Amino acid sequence: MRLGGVGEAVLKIVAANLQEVFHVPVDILPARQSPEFAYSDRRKQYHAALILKNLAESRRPHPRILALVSVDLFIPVLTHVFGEAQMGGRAAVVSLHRLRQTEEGSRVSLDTFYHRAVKVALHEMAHTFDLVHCSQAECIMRLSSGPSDLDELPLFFCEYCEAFLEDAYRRYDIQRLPD
Amino acid sequence: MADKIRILVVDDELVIRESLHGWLKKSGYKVDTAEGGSAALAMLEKTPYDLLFLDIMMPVMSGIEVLEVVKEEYPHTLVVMITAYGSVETAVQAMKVGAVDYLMKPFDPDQLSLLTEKLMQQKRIMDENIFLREQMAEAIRFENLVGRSEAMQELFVMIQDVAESDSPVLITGETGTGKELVAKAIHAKSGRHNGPFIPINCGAFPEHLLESELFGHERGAFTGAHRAKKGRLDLAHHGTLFLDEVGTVPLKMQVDLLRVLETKEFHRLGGTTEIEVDFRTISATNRDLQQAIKKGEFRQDFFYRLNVISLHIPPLRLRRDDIPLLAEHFLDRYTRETNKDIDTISKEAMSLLRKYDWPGNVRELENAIERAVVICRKRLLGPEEFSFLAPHLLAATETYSLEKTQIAHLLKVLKEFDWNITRAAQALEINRVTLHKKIKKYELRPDRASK
Repeated sequence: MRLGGVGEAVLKIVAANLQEVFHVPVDILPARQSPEFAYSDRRKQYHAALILKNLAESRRPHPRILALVSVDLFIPVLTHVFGEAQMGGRAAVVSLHRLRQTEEGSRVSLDTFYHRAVKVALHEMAHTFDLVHCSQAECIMRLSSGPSDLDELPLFFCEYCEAFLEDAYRRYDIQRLPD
Repeated sequence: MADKIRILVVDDELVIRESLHGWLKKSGYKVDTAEGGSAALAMLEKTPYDLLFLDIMMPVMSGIEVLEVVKEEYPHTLVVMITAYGSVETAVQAMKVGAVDYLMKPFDPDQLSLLTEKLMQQKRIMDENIFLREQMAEAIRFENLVGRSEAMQELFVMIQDVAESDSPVLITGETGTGKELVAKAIHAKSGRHNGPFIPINCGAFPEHLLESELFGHERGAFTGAHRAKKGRLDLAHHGTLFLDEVGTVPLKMQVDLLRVLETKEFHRLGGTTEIEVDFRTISATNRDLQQAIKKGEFRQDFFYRLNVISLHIPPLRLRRDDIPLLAEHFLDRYTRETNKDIDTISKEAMSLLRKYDWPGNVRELENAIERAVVICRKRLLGPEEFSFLAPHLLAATETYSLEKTQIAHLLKVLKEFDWNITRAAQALEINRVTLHKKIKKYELRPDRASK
């Protein structure tokens, strides 16, 4: 689902990749308005935890809901976050705000931007399946320290995280798509 | 993933506690929170924390005050000060008192993750040093399995049966029951007895050391790996690998080990060559693994792989008949080791040892005998040599049994009258025939208590 001014293309790309990597059916829900309820006057940013709470209360039947937003997100203790998710919960949110440029401020290609959005979405969604950050270099669950670090991440899970994910599907009784 | 690292977040602001807690949990750390200094100190008393994020500006007890106590009483806990108010002076003061770093709220996520990773590295090195010191201090002992109780006899039969197959065995039992001895006995009676018995205590190693201990490493695999080293998996070839405290193996390594157990192939850290191995696995734990599986701390597939045959060793308190035999066995060993002339353990002392519950099982009994032998200045170990077990022993001596109370009282009176039956009977206000009958019934004798 997208909240506010998020392009349809990035939404479809993220949805397709979630379905491909997690092997679970993914629906695209109707767009909703920008999450002004989560805006902090003091921080001039949007409080990620409030957005998650709102998403988790959705009456939709989906076991997991991920929202894409174009605004900048924060949690009280950090200056910003690319995304946030409820560990073992229902909701995840990804901010596209900082993914369009390098640390120095120059714009990145559309291709790089899409890749980054997909990686943050996969990473955050995996948190809802209890996966924690991974120390393997070749894993989407590795903690990235900046937008350009995201570019180094692969689009897949390491074998350990794959195994933990399998456990989580069983634990949460998630139906997977046939191969 | 950051197994076993425990972090405490101390801040009076709920939103800060919650968000830092959530962020750290995503990195796999075990995180608790406290809203003030006194709550934090109370938690530190119960749980050893590796790292504290400590807010400077808190009501009642300031962060600096908490820091002073922590550095005094828990010097191994690393402390990072956090504050919303930038003050170089307070930062300098905190660093002088012993904080390892200083962060301004809100933190840059990159800065926080780099700092946390750096501190965890520092902590691992500290733990490794402590571990190596403990290893050097640890005495290595071997002993035989001892026990003639029904439970142990059944166990011996099981060991014999199990030894003949090559299936993995999981030994369960409380700490100190002798799980490694059982594993050794199985190995000794198995077809692999000419091969090595390679034990590894999985709970005794920090995670990264356990990995290199098990799998070995190639030269240059990590900083400090100057030479290639064979892991225990390698060393166990044609023999038995004993995974002690298997319940503590981190989840990731469970995945790795499961693969090795299934394929009997692995590669060393930093290496790419697959090494084929042939060994039998015996593992042991005092944890309830079914419960650990439910909590997501132990993999079910790994459990099934280990638990093809299960053996349970009963705690010592459920086989009290073995206590005298074990006590004499240890007495014999330690009198020889210390060159002391101690013949036996007195009836009273043995009776106390039998009544004690031995929460540390055979290992605790062994330690008790060793200590008693060291402090004993006679040729007999009496109850006074086991006074260090008090108050448990004192409680154990209390009896509500009418018969035992009667025996104790009869002995006391007989001793007081120097076994003069007439005078003792008078004092007891019974006739001599009755006293004789009781002496006969309870087999009372001047030189010993009763049977």
